[in-house]
Amino acid sequence: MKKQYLFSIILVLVLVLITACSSSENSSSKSSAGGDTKDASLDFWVYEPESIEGKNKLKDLAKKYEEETGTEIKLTFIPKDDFNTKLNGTIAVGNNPDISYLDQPLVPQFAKDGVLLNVDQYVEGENGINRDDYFDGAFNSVIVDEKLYGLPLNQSTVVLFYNKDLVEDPPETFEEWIDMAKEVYQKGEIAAFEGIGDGGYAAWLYPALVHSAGGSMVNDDETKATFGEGKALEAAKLLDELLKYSDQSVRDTQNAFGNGLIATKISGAWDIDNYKNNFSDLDFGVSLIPYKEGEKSHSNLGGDDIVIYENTEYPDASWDFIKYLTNDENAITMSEITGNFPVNVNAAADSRYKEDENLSVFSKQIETAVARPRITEWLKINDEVVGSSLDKVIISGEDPVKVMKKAQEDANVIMSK
Amino acid sequence: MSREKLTKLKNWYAKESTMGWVFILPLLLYFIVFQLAPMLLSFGISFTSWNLRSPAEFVGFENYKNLLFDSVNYPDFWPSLWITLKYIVFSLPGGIFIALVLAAMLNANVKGEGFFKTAYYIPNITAMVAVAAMWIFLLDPKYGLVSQLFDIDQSWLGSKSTALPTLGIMAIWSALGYNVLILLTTMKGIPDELYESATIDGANAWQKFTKVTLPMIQPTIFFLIVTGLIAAFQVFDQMYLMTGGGPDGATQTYMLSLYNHAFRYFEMGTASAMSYILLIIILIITWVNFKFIPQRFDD
Repeated sequence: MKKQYLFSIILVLVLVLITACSSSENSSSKSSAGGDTKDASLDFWVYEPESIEGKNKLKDLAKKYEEETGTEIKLTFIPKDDFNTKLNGTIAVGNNPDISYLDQPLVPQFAKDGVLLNVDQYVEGENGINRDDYFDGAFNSVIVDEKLYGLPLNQSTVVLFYNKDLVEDPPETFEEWIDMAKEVYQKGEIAAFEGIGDGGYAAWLYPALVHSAGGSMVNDDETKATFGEGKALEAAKLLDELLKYSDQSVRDTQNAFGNGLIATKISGAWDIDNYKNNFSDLDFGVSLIPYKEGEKSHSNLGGDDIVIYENTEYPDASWDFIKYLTNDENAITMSEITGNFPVNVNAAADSRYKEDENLSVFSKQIETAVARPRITEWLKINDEVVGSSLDKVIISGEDPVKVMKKAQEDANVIMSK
Repeated sequence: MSREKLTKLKNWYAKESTMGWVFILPLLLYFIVFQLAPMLLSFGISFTSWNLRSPAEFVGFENYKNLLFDSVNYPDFWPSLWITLKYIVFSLPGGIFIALVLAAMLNANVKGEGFFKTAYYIPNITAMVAVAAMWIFLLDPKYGLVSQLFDIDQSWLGSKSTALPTLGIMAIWSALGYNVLILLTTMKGIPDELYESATIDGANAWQKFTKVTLPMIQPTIFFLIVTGLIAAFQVFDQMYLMTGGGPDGATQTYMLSLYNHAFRYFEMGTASAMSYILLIIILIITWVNFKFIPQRFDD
């Protein structure tokens, strides 16, 4: 009997404790009301950097800012895979951070839902920015319906990686690429091209080929899909042709490019370090994405933006902080932390991006990189229409022209909603 | 407090049912807060259009209707349901059958029973991420053990025809330990007298298995089928970790598609509607199970 007493007393105590803790947490958060003062405190959500050095660099940046301005920066590191889920969850209950990273294709959705702060008022003012300091493609990713909703944080693009032991000179045109494929292909041993992955990832890489073929994903005012017509179809045909000389069993082997089984692949700057550090036998180079004869090399543009939330208590301090993160000096650090390229023109002119034989190719490719369509439903069209159609071409070997034409029709139905 | 009141309180406290409630209180609270409430909430959400950021908008049965009939905006719904059914066919009957054979073998008083039980159970308690990493390694088209063993270069997870069966086999392997353990425990519980009298009647080993063991473990088999089906309908981690639904949507199961709607496109209404459609399907199938699969041996 005594034991039972003891047990239930403990139980009740524990329960009381739990409820007490949670309620006190609620009452303490965001209680410090007031205007935009020197003692502003900003919640800042970032992707968990992949290395501990990256994490420390970010902490140092925040600390330096705290010392200079007196504004408190509360950094929260969240793994990239969980980031959007957690972020949306906090927005739903109004407990969101003041500032956060945001993946480019999410900006239009967030802006249209009214959760982001329109920062147009700051651009012109005393503490403003010079629009020309930023790359166009990246800067456009934070503009929705001609309003500015933050600043670009970093940008990335993809280029052609080639194995120097298999390919002497990288192909410059689609035609050269196919000739190279025929030459290098060995059944079951060597694949000419790695492919472009599958699903949503494939749909993210594919625009690089579409634009280099002289086509486009959507029309200029972004009201209609155009990736299944005219010159854009050359990209699908190219893919289909290249994969004839690239056995799936070779392409799907783990680290096939690193182990020298693949002649060409399309990838981003993150793979430079990967291949340098993990595959010392591999002799690889990078070059611009090949183009259809008579056209120009283009690539896709990805990256993240940095946004301020509409319900922040400290809009002025928030603006000052995001400006600080993207200025000439810090833009380099921020792009190092995220493994991408600076969005700031002066920062990108830094010698490290111009002189390195690999990074300089990326710098050049970025100049002609095309951003994703800024359509609210794009992420869904990307996955469920473009991605799944590319799967049909790449994996199931269906007729590329027919599949992409049908995909364009489906995309237009979704966009007209 | 008066003495009378104190006795009353003591009596109330001493009642067994009170103690019972106290003991289940933590789980009950957990269930209500983290399971029942979200379930009821998501039922409400399934009638709205909600992306977590802007206020939910009531749309009636629109989500249900779109999922069932609008194959342009929701192209994954029917294929993912079909793929889930195929996955169940690949993984469930075979899994229970193999478990049955192994349990019967272990039940024959083999040496090292404890070792085998542990060995079979290990996959079951291993984190799915670790299991997935190991299988990706084994299934590598060129250098993997499986390809080496059969001496063919085959992209097991990358080709449309083999991806789902491969995941099915993997599921059999990882659920085996649990199934074997449950079946074996039931087999151990069968009274020896039954086997003795069967021996006296001149039954051989096969007859003993089919006429004594099988009927006696029928309720357990039924239990494994029902719970296995429910779990298989909700299969998610393997696909999420190993194939991401590919190749060409060949492993895009219902739950994976639901997850994408909820946490990639942030269509909470659609995702909630999907989970309620799944609930109805599972209810119907479980009802069919109870109706048509023998639950116990009746003479």
